[in-house]
Amino acid sequence: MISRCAALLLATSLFAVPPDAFAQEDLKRLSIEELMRIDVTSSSRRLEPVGTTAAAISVITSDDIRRAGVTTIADALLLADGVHTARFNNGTWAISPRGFNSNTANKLLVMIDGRTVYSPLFSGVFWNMEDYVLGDIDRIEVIRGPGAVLWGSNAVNGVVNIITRHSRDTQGTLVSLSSGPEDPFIAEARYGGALSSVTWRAYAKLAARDDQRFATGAPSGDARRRGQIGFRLDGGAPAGSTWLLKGDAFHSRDHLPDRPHGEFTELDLQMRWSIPIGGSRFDVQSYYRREYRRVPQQLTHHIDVFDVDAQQTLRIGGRHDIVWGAGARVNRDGTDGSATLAFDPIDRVYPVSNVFVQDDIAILPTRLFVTLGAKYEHNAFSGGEFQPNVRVRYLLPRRQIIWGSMARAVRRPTRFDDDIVVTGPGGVELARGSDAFESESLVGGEIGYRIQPSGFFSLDATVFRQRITDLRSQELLPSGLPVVVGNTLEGLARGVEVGVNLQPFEWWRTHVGYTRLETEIRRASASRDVGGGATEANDPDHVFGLRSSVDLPYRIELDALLRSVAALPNPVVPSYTELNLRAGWWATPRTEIWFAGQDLLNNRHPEFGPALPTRVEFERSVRVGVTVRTP
Amino acid sequence: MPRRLSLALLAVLFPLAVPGAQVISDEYRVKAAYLYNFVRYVEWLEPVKAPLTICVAGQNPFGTVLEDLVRNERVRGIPLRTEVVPGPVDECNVIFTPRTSNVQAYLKAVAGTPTLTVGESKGFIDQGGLINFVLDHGNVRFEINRSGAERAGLRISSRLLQLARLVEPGVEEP
Repeated sequence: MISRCAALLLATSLFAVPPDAFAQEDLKRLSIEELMRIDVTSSSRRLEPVGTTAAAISVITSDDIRRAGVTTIADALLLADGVHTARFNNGTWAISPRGFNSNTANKLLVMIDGRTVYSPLFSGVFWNMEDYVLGDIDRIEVIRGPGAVLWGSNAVNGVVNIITRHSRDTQGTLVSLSSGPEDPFIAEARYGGALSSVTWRAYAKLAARDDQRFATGAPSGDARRRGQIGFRLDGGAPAGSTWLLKGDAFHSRDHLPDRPHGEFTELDLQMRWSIPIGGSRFDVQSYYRREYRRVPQQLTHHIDVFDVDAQQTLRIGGRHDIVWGAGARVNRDGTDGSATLAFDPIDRVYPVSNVFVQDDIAILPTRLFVTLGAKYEHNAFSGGEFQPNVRVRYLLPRRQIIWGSMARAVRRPTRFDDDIVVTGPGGVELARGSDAFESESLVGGEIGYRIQPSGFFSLDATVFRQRITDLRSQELLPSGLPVVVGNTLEGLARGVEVGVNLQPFEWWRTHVGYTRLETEIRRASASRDVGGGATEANDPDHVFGLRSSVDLPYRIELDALLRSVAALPNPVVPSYTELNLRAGWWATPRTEIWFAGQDLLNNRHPEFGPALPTRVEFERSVRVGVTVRTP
Repeated sequence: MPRRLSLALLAVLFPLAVPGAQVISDEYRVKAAYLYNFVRYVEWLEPVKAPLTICVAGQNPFGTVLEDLVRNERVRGIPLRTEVVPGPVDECNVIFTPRTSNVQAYLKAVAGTPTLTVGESKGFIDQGGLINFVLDHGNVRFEINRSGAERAGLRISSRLLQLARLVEPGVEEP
């Protein structure tokens, strides 16, 4: 759905307080960036701060990304509360909110401008292929918890919504260059222009990353080089219909620790059209995406995805904000396996389609709202799935909100579950997928509280409990090998997430995030699982983050990001505390010279993976860079 | 339900909608919020005598919005107040000149003083104004005359400069 395109904007139109309640108090809270985004010509839709959203949401702004000094989109997620972001090697991450994390984590919906980027092959994200000119990312919205109705398929543990800037906001030139021992070069260039009512931008990016170290101290052989080019065109009249056309091409050569010379390509082309009709708005979106990955001695595959979505947003009787729509997607893939990993069948075409409706009802205007939604999704592996969601929010004075949600969401079967064939030495078949594999089903409840009494303080707390049934298992049947993929595990995740913003002075902003998480996996009664869920979850009990941003005289900015992650149980990864620092100096209003250090507290440390001598450990890294913008 | 009763109920439920109250457009609500923000991101090099005064020249397009916004607010410890000034005066730290006002006269009156002049008309920067609101695809954006601000003894924070369109007087916009 296009609702997924700009969850916040949508969230705002869906969750927004009616116009009369666009109060002075709210106005005072809005940052300049937020003010710049308010469309003053339309009275029906308005951008609200996250304050009134009935979901556990963190918004990472472009300024946050810039000042964190991170080099990838995946690393930018360190800035989101409640997300465990761990690196496995230079090109592989394990990222998940609400637990069940692994380097093949498969319960997170990730989108760039409303285009789904997780791989249909296993429902997880190949983070090494998701890149952009970081300065042209407007914001990243991270929504924790099941939100399948609102945001689309696979939104089981959460949604990551990466939103790039409108091309009218990226006019002129941007050039950014940086270099350091671990990242020999990162070069980004963008130019934006306008032709009558159409604005556009084109960009190119090249980056190299050096080897990390194995636990033994030897180079890990996971150096990589990546490049990307792309464009974006926006047109139309703000009050009338608007359109977007966007395309990107990514290519990288990644060495993996034991498999040098991997090659990865992604192409995408996307269009969106938004038309006001009567009092409602129609959005139509379509995209094509091609993913090509070659991992030597393991698997080469390519996938073509073609997707069409349409939705209508309308208000009925002043009390009902309704969104309904439908979408269809066709995945067509081809695999070229190896002696150890293959798919049966080798090629497959698998469509998935859905219809959904959601009504946001103002029970007491400006106070109490209930959102009812449901989605029916049909996939080629396990058939139909019904995913309902109920959300309630109650707005209190002094910008307080109490909200709650109950939802069901599914992680539908993939080729990884149904068609996989794993072969051991001597040609013995070790494991096999199963057509009987069902969707993994999550039912979760959460309650949140948020208060923003002043511009200098805000607090956001969420308590959640979610249960997964039919979790993927590895069954050893009495007939012996191969192990067959099944659904006989059950998972439980519960926890508390707290985020506090404190701005003691105009020039000093701080943020503290803390997550307490408990996950457990147990076998259902008839289980013959032999995997023990080790590939399904490996979560820290605690994640703590502290961010500080200081604006000093002479246009100097200092930033620190401290994070502390508890030990992972299975496989064991020791706890660690790490620090990133950045100092930037605006030599002119358009030129910034900066220095950034990552992982400064340890010579090197591991973040994920079994305690083998070949586990990759991440080295301390520093970079210097310069960013120049011209109007 | 008798119509009269329902109207009475409406008035009770929506006291804000009672006729007579001036309805302020989103454009001026947003501009008022900007003015409040500008004060936070601009530093006066010479000490400012309390309270810091935001003047609105001529006809006030903000209703009570701006007044409500700055009531009981302080910036760097200095309380804020607003005032509608019918003619050029020199007691303002910030002066907003709506396009309906005699912009030139107000600008002339404060020339050479550390006054943050904010306008919303074409050519405002060319006339020597410092910050000018422009409407861009329905959004309110702003231009800053950086050298003018420096000459007036105002330091504009990098955060604001970054978000602004930087314009020099006499230079035509592309």
